Amino acid sequence: MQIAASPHGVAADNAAPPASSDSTSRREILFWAVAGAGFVLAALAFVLPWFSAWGKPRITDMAVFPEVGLSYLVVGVIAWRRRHGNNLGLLMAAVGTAWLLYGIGSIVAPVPFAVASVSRFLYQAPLAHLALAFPSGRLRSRSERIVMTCVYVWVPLSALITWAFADPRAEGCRRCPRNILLIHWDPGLHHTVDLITNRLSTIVAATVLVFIARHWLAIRKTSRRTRRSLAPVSWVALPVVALIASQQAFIDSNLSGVPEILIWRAGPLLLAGLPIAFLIGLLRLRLDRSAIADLMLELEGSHSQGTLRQILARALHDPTLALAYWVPDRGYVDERGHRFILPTGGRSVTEIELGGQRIAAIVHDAALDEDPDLVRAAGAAVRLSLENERLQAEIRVQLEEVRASRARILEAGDAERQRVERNLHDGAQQRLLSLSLALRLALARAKGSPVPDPELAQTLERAAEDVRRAMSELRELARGVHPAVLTRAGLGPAVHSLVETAPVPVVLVALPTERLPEPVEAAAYFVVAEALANVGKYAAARRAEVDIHRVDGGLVVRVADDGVGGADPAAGTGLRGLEDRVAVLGGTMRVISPAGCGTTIVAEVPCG
Amino acid sequence: MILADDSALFREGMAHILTDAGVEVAGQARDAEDLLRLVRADPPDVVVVDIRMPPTGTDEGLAAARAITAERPEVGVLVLSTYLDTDFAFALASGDEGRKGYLLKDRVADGDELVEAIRRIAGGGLVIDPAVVSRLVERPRDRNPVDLLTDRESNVLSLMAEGRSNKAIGERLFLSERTVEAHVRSIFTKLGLEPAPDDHRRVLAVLAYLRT
Repeated sequence: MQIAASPHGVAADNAAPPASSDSTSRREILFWAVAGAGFVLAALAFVLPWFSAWGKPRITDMAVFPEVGLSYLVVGVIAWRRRHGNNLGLLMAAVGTAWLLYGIGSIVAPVPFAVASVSRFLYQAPLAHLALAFPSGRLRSRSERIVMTCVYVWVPLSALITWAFADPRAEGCRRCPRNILLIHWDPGLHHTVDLITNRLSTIVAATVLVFIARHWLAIRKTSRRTRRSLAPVSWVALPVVALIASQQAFIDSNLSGVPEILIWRAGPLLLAGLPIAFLIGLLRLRLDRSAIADLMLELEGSHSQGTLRQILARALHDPTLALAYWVPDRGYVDERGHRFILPTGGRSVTEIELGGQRIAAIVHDAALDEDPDLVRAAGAAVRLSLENERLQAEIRVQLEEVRASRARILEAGDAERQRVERNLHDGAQQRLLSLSLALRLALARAKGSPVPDPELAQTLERAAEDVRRAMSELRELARGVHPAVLTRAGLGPAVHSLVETAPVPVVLVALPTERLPEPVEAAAYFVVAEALANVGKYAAARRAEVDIHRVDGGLVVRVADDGVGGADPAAGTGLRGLEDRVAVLGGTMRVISPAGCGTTIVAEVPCG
Repeated sequence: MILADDSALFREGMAHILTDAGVEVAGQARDAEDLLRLVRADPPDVVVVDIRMPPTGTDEGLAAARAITAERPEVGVLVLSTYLDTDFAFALASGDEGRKGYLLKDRVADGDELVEAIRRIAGGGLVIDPAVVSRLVERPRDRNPVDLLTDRESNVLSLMAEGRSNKAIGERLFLSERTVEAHVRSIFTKLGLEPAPDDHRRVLAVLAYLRT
């Protein structure tokens, strides 16, 4: 994951380089050293052949060789200036410089001859690196880095090994200078070493090509934007690969005529096309900047199409783009207020600030890292809209917290009711029962005594009656706190017992037979209990109706009476408490009570 | 008989009353597991079990009662409850067999009722707590055929719903069995019920009628 820091608010001047550091200034020096050397070599490549002891330069060589190197150097400089710190510019300059190094060979002397011999195919290493790192400028995996290291080591090493056992003068090149790299000359050995290094080179080349093909297939899939920028490169890359492959194949053959011109003389012109294709790709990315202006206009207009996310996704050509909003003490959340975990691989993140405060993050295709200023500019353009959505997300987070705390309070209340009921059952009720047994035994003893004491017996009898009444009252109290039958047998039997003790005749229209989640059963039960209690207290009704049935994903509880109506849910605490209870479960409750037309309470509770 | 309740004080008191009344208390259990062990070791005529026992205190007693009925159909089960639970009375009566009963714990203090219930269960009968029956009889109804009954017939209806045979009803009300039979026929006609083939099914029919 790359978190692009946004040092100055964001991107009003999107050409501003990132904060300068030692490493960026070192890279700056490295780039200009490589490019500068390349330009010197290019100048030499135009001049040296005319004075070379090899003889007059062929016009085809002069028309191709320096131009190929120059095209890489020029495009490298453009890419570098456009985007500091992006490796693509450096890699292109390196390809150009490595390519032009071969031109040193025009000076017929042992050292330049050795340099030219070793550097002939050196450009292939940064070229492969370029192909593997496009368009972000970075290698993505360890295996890619290992392969590239092998290439950088093998290309010069293979040349050194070959030239350590080659002597062009012994093979009949009279104008050739002495080979200072030669260790031992033996025609048989020379042939064998050549064969082995060529085979190894083929293996390395094939491996690199597989990696490049894999890399390109993978990034083509990532986004339309990447595909757009890759297209011109793809057109040129295939002929270039064919060219390098055929050069590798015919390296030892003495070609002449058209094949020779195609492969060794004119063919390399193709290599000059590659940086131009890269340049077109980079320019295409640049064209996207006009999309930011469109973005501003779209937001300006009240008829903007779709959500902020969709607008940004369109402007940045990344349909997978996601937005996360920063909520202090909470971290990132999505637009619905749910926790959002920033991705840790594959996707990139650009944070957007407003007045020095982090407000949001744009999660986007890693291909956009090639141009982080673009993402930041887009983010800056929609800053105020982002802040607006962020505030909404923050409010949703707070609402969710309130809802959760209300649910916790209700749950705690229910748990407490159950605990109280259980304590009553196991404590007071049990003691009263034991007391009534003791009284009963005492009464039996008093009655059976040889000396009867009618007064004592009467007192005991009264006490037993009081205990019985206390137990009965306690039973009703416990039932009101939390009915045991609800816990034991569920909603159906519990509502049955409410209906049996209702003050007016109640018609049971429907009852669920199955068990439901405990909070749902409790909510439905207390709705019916409160509604029927109200029927008895205020409604002056002749009859009532209870209907509890399942609907898709929920439970509908309806209690209706034919009483005087005019019930006001805001007036009493009973109905308000029920509304809260139902709302906590994400349900709704309506009280329909026109004066003179009875009362209907309808609660809808989602059912897990 | 064997009794099971998690309160030792209550168990002792109940055992005392039953022993006084001439019922042999063969064992006492403090939870369902204990009870099942005692029943398996030496099946009694009747067990008296509290509906709520450890560990959860919801319906362990009920589960134990079902287990005993399944294993030893010849053992009668009287379930005691602190609360009035008509649904439970129904569940109990809906079985095929008698030898079952449901009483409020309050009744225990009135020793005669408890002893009578145990004897009726031992004799193969069904016992439903009078409070369950009176709640069902007295509940408000739109058009109430129960109002058509004479006082005497109402008494007979309640005693019938509590699970008593014609003979027992007769003894209660100081009537001959014949007279009780005549009352029962009249009740069934007035309520529009089909005559039931036996006492057990008669209880079910009457309870079901009263509930709807």
